[in-house]
Amino acid sequence: MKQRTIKALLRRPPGVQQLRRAAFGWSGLFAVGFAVAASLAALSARPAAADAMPTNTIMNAFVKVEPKQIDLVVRIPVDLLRGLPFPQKGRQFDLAASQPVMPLAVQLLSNGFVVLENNAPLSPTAARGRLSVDSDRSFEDYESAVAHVDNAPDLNEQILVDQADFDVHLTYPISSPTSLFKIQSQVAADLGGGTKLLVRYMPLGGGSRAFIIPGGSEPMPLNPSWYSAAASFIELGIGHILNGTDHLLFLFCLVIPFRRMRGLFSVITAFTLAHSVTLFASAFHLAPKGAWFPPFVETAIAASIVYMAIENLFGPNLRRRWLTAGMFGLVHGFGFADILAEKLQFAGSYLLLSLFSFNVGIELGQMLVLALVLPVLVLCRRFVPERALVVTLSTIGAVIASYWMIDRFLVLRQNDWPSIDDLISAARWPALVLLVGGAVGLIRKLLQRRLVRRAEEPSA
Amino acid sequence: MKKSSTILVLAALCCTPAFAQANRISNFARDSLTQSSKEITAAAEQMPADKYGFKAPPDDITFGYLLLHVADINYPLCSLIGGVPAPKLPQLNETDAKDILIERMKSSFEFCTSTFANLDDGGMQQTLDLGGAKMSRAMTILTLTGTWTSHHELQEKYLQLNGISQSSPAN
Repeated sequence: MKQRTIKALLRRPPGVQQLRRAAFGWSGLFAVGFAVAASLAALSARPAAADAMPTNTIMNAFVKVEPKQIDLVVRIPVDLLRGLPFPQKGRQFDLAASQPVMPLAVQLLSNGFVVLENNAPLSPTAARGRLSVDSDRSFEDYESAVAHVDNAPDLNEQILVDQADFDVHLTYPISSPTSLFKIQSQVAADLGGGTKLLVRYMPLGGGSRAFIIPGGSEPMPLNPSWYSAAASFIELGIGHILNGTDHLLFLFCLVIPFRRMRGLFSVITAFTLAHSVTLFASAFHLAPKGAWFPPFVETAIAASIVYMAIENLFGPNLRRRWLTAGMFGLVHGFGFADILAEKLQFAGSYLLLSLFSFNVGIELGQMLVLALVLPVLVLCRRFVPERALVVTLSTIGAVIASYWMIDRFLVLRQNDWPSIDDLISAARWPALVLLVGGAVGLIRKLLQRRLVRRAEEPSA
Repeated sequence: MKKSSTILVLAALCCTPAFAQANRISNFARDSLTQSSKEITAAAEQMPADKYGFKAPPDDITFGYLLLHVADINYPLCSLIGGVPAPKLPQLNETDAKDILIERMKSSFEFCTSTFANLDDGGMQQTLDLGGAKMSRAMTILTLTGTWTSHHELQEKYLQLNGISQSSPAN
């Protein structure tokens, strides 16, 4: 059995969007038709409902840096540790009988978290653990959490099996409190992003920060240096564009009809500038809020591809394409921001630098894709008539994007409609583009008139 | 000298983290495997053959499918944990005869027993790739034992819904 299937076997199959993203590689632009078929096949596959999703999947943690050690205190819902053999009395844990199991639980969980110092894994030298009721408030601050875990529990306490947590305190010796520290949770990693590790990082000297680390993530930096923040966000940007099949398909539809780089330059620049505006705006919380917005953006991204492909079919106005690219660039920027929102917390004190780096990564990824796609298009034009090539490729793009659009619209429809305020908030973005586009067009016309007048003026 | 060295040894023993006992996790894996294979097999045998197609909504799988699912998880996970390649077996169908399904499930537990035989706690921190999810060997063991717990609970539920009370397996 292939390893790829193990994770799927353990839990429910991924949702529609995950399937789509998993099925397409960035290099699969020409294989998108197959990917649609694969997605449809996967959608029709039988759900393996043998493993129910745990209801409580949030783990709370403190990471405190001391001069010679790091302390990790974590509260894990027992629902995520179903394999632990804590004896039960009816619907409650038998705490007295559970005590012999504690060292095993602690030893297992000491292997459930990876703490790195300058990318070298640390080993805990001390560990304690206990069962707790999930209504316990000790994890509101670090000191109470440590005191709670380190104290022996009252063995007469009644802890219901489905309302229990396991608390663990791990101590790791470190070489310096100023090192770069990273953390990864491998507890129930088979659930992927279904679990979350909420970390409150407390460096030596104050200035604590909070992070939400999705399950299955790589080790995440808690105190990045400026260069490691920049490098990781450039990498994130490149990875995002190369894995973002919808962004790539849009880019592809955008460039299909162009025969010269000169015309393409203004289109790509407009797209880049526009998506940068909304990307930065989102990072500073200026994007419309509400559960409707992310599925709306996803649907609009799919619609942008359909529009661009149809425009290609019916004779595109390439001179004005920069305006369309700019308009849709705004939407794609919100889409880029979606992934960034989760990761920006790991930027440390370098928010602007990380944003800029992410944008650089996206541009690098775009340039890489164009560097591969454009020569292929030039080559194809040698063998296939220009119009036939544009029509064929645009039709494929339109069909795939239409499927996405309908699929995403169905998700969007399940959300509440936006309020009037939300709509006004959302409308300012296209209004901004129209305003900027109009201003650019006006300036261009004025310049053209001036040039014509100069040319018509009799030479002295 | 002897006294001070005894004190030193005692001090070292006291300072050794309690959680670092040799082969605690491996022994847990073996014990859990023995117990769970007995329980899951006993429940499978208790369910009448004509009820293997029974579904318990909303758990949209049949009892027969559940047994295949247990085997389908045991082979790759025990293979990863033990570092032994899983055998290539013919595909079975959930509608196959009860004996065939039980045999497949039993053989998967036997495979796990053989892969766990030489397991020790030496490489428990080693990261294993579960096809996307990366977990230490220790966490993979915990995940596997967790699936046994869940699957046995589901079996019990199916038996209950058919008016069968599960008798505890013979040790």
